[in-house]
Amino acid sequence: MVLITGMGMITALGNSVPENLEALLCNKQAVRYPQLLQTRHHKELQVGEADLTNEALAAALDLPLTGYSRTTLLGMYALREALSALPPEQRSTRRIAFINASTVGGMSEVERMYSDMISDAPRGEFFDYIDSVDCADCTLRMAAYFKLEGFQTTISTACSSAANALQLGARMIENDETDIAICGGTDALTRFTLNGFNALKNVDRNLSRPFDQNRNGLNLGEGAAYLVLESAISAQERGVEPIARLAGYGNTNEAHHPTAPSPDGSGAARTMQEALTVAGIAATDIDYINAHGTATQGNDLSEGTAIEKLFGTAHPPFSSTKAFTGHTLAASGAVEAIICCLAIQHRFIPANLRFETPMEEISIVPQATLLRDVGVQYALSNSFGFGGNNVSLVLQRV
Amino acid sequence: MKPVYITHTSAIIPQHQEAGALLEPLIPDERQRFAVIEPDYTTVIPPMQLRRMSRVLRMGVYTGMDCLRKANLARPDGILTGTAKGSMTDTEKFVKELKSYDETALNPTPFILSTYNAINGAIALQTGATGYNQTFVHRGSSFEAALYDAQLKLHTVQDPQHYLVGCFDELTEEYFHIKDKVGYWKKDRDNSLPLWQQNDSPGSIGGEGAAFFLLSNHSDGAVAAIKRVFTFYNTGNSAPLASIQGQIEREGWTAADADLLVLGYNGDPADDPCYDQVRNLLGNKLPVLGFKHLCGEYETSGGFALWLTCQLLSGNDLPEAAWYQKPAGQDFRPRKIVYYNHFRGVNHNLVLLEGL
Repeated sequence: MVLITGMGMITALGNSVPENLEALLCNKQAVRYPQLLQTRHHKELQVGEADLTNEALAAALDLPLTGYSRTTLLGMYALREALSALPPEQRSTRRIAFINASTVGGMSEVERMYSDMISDAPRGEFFDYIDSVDCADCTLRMAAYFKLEGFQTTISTACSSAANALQLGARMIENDETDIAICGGTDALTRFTLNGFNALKNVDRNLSRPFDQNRNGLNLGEGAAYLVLESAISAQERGVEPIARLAGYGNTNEAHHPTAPSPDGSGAARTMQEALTVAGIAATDIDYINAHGTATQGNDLSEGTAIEKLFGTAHPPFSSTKAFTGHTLAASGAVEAIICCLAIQHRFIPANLRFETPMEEISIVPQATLLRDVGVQYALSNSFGFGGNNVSLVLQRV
Repeated sequence: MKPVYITHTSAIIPQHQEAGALLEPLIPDERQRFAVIEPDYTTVIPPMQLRRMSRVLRMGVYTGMDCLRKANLARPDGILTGTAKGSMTDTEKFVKELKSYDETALNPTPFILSTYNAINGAIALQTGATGYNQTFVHRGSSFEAALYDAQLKLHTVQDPQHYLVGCFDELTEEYFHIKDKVGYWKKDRDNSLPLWQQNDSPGSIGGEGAAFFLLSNHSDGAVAAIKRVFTFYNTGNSAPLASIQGQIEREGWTAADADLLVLGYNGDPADDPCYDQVRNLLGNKLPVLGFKHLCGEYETSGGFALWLTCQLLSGNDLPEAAWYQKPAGQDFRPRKIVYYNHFRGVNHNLVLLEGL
């Protein structure tokens, strides 16, 4: 049995799990024009940007001002919160795996310095970031900072990266490969990703409207989120109350198109079904679906169709919390797994903000408003990415 | 964990690999680097798709598809890859265009292709493989992480399954230039000397390659069994000897059982002592297969090493120059093989293999 015994997160909604919870419960509007990201689109494209500057993050972590990418700093900040449930003296006696995820690693800084990096200048500001081009840099630095010396790896499967980190961690615990797996992901806002999605015409100039007929793309976000997965034996020995259980997971590939999901939702339905099968439950057992819900034309049609296909018209409430946070890319799978845990713990269904008009192609609609005092026994969290990399997770009340 | 079995392999390497002329003649590095010999991609990739692919995508997709072709398998049950850099060419292109076009009128293609899982997606698309799909990007342990996950995942299923597991990394001019600033490469290199005989100057030589393996949870038609994969992190400039010994013992082997070492000697005096330490641990008289003098130093060079080992196990003879320490006698067919490789002292990898 894989239990969740710690959580940490930072998003545009807040700098901690309690702040994110509070924001979800008051329908906080956090997506706005960027204050920190340097881009020519700063008056056109709204984003989910974390409040803290790099300087503030570095100061909070007692780190020097340079050398750490924003992706690393966000990751460390969230991981510190997650690890607060796992005191150092309890770490030394256990096998601890660290499974991180990122889509562009240190690009947040590298994109500013790249021309200096490839210039003939042997030294310069870039020098401190010279190894930050890849996605492993943030993982290595985070592991060094928190002295995580066991198994570690980094996953990059686009928007399903952190969800994949979680399913690998769960599988390692189930097969007694580790006692604890700290899993999640981190991605800072970058010009690279903002312009990439914008060039693909996947970015809405207005605030995103997941599952709405008039949706017009995503708002990009940033953030980091980590969950401490732990075997039941280890959690019992430590005497900790589990937050929830990671009961099932599915990982499948769409095999449909490099960047677009199948319109009939067959890929998404297969992933969700696999997660239900691994959890040993039926679709009717699910009480809440945290949808991938990017608000792009393609995703919401595919995912909405798949939910309708699998759950029918008596479907459980579903919402996309990307309308709150923006699309945090590699972090999103962990951000949304934590939101599912919060829904289970605090008995609520987060709103699908800005939903107005039902989609023509499907007969189901998302949960537009916040629901309180709702028992959630099982929650399903979807993360679907470029390359057809789909992951679904099942979270269970314990 | 139960072993997984290697049934088929394919690689794109900087050396010759034609039938009967494996590594012959040996191609030396030039300008402190190796570049792969690219095959005729059109034999396995439809021309329409080929046109849209950049260099490392071609390398990765070709090798994966070629591996399936050799196995006469239309569709793998899973696809797992490791890459440190993904399509570096596309990343470089998009980051430079951001600046030169001032964030306007950008072509999204390099952005899409820079995604690390693009090759996984392309192979899945081409084969209709809807099963498990995963991409590891953990610098010098990317490939080994994919092997580890493949073993873990295959361990959990009973029915015969075949996973396509591979790695790919390209060496671009810009990457070479950037890493030159942090001393990755030798300043002077006499390429008439084996790389490890030039370990009196810092740095190594750059490399690249792609390699794919078909792994199964059943041993039918296998050339080797992967018994154990272990990655270690940041043990500095010394090999994690206690952990290596522990893993060997947990496998039920003794240190004296190993009959072949596959070690990542790269001619850098900062890196090579680790390999000497492993030899001292397991036996200085054992044959040692070197490989970075054939493919260069790069994060997923383990793919080349495993591919070369499989060629040996398949009955191919390797030329004398391939060996760091050559075996005595003819027809050397090792049974218990220890692969140890590290990338700049940060990522250390151990694989225990059994020749079948």
